[in-house]
Amino acid sequence: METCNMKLIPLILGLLILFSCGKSEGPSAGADLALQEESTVTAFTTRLPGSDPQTQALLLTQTVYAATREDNAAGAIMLVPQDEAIAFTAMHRITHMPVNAPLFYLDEEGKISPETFQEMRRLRPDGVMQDGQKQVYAVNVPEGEVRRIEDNLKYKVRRFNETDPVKLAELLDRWQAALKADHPDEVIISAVDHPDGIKHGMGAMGWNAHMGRGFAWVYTDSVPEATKKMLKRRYGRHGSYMYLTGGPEVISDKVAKELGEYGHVRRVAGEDVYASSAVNAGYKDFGRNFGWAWGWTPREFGWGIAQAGHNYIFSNADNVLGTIPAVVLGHMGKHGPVLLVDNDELPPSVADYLEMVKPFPANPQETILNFGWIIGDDSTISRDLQKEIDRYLSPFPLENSGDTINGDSETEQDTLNKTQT
Amino acid sequence: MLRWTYPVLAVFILVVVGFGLGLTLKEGVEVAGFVKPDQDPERGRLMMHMKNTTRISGNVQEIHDRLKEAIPYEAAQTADYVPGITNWKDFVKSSLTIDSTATHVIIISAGGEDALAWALPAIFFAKYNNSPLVFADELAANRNLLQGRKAFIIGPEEFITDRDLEGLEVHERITASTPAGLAVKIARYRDSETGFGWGREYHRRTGYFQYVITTPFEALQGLAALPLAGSNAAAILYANEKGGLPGITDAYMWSQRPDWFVTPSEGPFRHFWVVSERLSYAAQGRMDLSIEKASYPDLGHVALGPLEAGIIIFIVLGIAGGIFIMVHSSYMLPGVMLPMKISWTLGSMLLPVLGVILYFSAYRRPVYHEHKMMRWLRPQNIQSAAATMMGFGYGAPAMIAVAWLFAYFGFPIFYGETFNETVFWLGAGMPVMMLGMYLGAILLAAFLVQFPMKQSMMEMENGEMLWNALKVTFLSMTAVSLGMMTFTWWMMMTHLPMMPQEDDIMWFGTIWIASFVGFIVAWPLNWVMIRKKLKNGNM
Repeated sequence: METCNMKLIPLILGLLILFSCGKSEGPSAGADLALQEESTVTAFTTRLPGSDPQTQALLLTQTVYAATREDNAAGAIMLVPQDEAIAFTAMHRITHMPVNAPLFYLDEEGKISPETFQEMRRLRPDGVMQDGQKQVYAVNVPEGEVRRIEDNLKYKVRRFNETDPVKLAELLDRWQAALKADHPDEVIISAVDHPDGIKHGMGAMGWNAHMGRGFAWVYTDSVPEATKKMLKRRYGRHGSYMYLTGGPEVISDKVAKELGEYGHVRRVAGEDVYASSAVNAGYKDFGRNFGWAWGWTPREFGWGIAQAGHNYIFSNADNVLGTIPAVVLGHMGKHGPVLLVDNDELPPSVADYLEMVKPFPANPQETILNFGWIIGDDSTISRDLQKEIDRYLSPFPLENSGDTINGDSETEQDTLNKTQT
Repeated sequence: MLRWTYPVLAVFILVVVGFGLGLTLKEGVEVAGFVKPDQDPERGRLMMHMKNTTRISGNVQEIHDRLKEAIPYEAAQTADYVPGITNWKDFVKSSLTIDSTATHVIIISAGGEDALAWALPAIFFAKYNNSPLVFADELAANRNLLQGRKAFIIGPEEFITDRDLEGLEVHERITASTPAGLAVKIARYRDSETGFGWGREYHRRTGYFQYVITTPFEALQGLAALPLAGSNAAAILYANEKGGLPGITDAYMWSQRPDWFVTPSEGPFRHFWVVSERLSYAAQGRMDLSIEKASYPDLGHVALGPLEAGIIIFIVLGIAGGIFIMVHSSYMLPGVMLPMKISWTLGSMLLPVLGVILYFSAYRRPVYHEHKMMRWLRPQNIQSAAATMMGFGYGAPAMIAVAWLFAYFGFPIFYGETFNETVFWLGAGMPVMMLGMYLGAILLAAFLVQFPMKQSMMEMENGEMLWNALKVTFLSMTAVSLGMMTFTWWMMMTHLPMMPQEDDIMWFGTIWIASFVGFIVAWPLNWVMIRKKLKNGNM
């Protein structure tokens, strides 16, 4: 009997190993979902058809976080009011690792909608080890709503209450420094008082969601005290490496010069908001940063994408609240920059950029591919524009989409139907 | 007399570290799908696309119509009519274009949907590659296509018999025990001479591979998605009839996880297209995770990269060495004091192989007695190692246990405006944790090990003895910490792109290796202390 039991041990171990290969059976998924039909696809794009900021945010979290287990769940959740500057600031500094947080909006009355609350429950965030296992970052969320989260979802909440976006950026900078034991020297700087300040900075905000660097606000013609305080914290002879989002009409040369006292200043800017997004996608700055006699680390800022084989997030420039949570697609999955477009037209600057990064036949076994996310429903970005974007992302020539991606081998045009008679 | 403090500290360490390793194992069990999530992750979903997985829902006609509308490229064009059980053969013929220069020809069976299930992976390759393709029942009529080309016979003999192939000059059969196995085989296979097969092996790290997932029972849906082979170079993979992923498909998918070197925005990426009404949400979520980009030093939290594999071997060797020393010393070294046995056991767990070597070097020595206690006559290097082990054996595991508790409950951080900005890092999580583990380990080791040990060996006032215990522990732990903390910081804050969580094997791996480094740094420092007779290394 004892011998028999001993023999069972390798058998049991073997079965355990065998079954550990995976068990993923279950009921069929995806029947009759409200927006599945509207989530139109092409070969190289997928649409996430939010018709309002709250729904858009839900679609994004459902795309990025399957939440079937800890490793594909969010680390935390960010909750903000529908305020462009506040949401923009929060997305800049909170999203990236180690927090790993998508963004949700409160409704117009400052409440959490039932759909958003359910999505928060579905996500079951893992918690942020570096911050007391916090699961929710509530930025200017009414205390009653925070209590609802704590009481009903049992999530640990960190509150950030600061209605001035400039001061909020400074507060989040301090918090991030405690989280990472460092102040990132690369600092993106946008203009809070310019009507297009956020749009010009949208692409760079995507970089921060992707890489987690610093962010500060300025005014078009002056530098606020809170921002000066932030920049002084950057250590070393070179101080900060600042990237201004927008040309001199957005952030004046006077401000650029004043910022120069705190370090190295560069602009990531185009003629309009579309061009700024395209410039951002291709922008790269690298070089000396910080170190002592040894251990020098370089600065490295910007996507620097100038060749085929990448992912892009296409969003309507006027859909600011819808675009802000969408940069989570640059944080997980295929990662990639935001490119701003119109409702039904590809701006020339973006089209030129896409031509530069267009794939081409490169291997007999597969090809280089691009991929694009279309943010918003048909009324935000038309189906025709989605198809046009697809042509730009495809490995097929724009003029003649009929060529094969399999190189230049001569093909018989007759089909097998004709040859196999 | 046995002091209760030594085993109590040992049990505390083993419980905490064991619980942590248990949680890490639980992660693995979750990967295998045995543990269902507490919440319903499907509830409230508005659509079924994910970041690495696009789901094209609908029946055969809907999939066909959607893709015809969505993919206009000529290379992706297929027949205008909807494929069905009776016309799928004609659909395939009408949808392929052949390359006259191809040096291979694909032979598939004709028949019902089961024949299509076997043939579909090859049809997808033929569509992308413009390969000549012939049905087994039309070989005689297509001798011109077969001539001078190597023939690849797709599927088992049950569908294409050897008799069917009589007269073929050069041919090779590609088959497997199931359609899922065959799909994986064709995805991996490459005949470099004739160019047949996708050749998508693990080592081809730069490929932008895409796949269409369906089940053998929905092969017609898969065929309707044929445009994706032409446009996206998509290969076929199969799920099973219960909506799950067969082991062979699952293992292949995980092997396809791409990695990145500088930022995750680098190419390549991989993508799945789901055209199945049977595939479960759990399977889709798993697929989506399997090809999530991961940093090159490891393969992320789930997939087992070389670094994780090395770390697991390192930890297992350490634990095995510790267990061996515990058993061996219990039976073979009755004269060694229990605190020393515990110390060697715990310490050796963190010193794979080296711990056992040092143990034998320390105790295969002539014995003598001093103050009625057994001593071993050792050279100074080994005395230093034994003296290091006395502090390290309790201190390093205690530091790991304290660090894990910090990680489990989360680091406390402080970032108040009034906090002195030049020392902001004192409020940062990692330094707070390091300080906590250092001080925690000193206090635990001083009060629970050094103090009672000195009490049993020396005649001294309690206060003086405690001060003495604290001094010795401080010196030992500082020496160990020099190496351990430096390595932990370098690995977690600099080398690894993401700091590992408390239930990642990388967390344990980092701290395990850091302990090893700590011992190596403390060893020569203890050599000096032995030389100056501050420590005894013959116990």
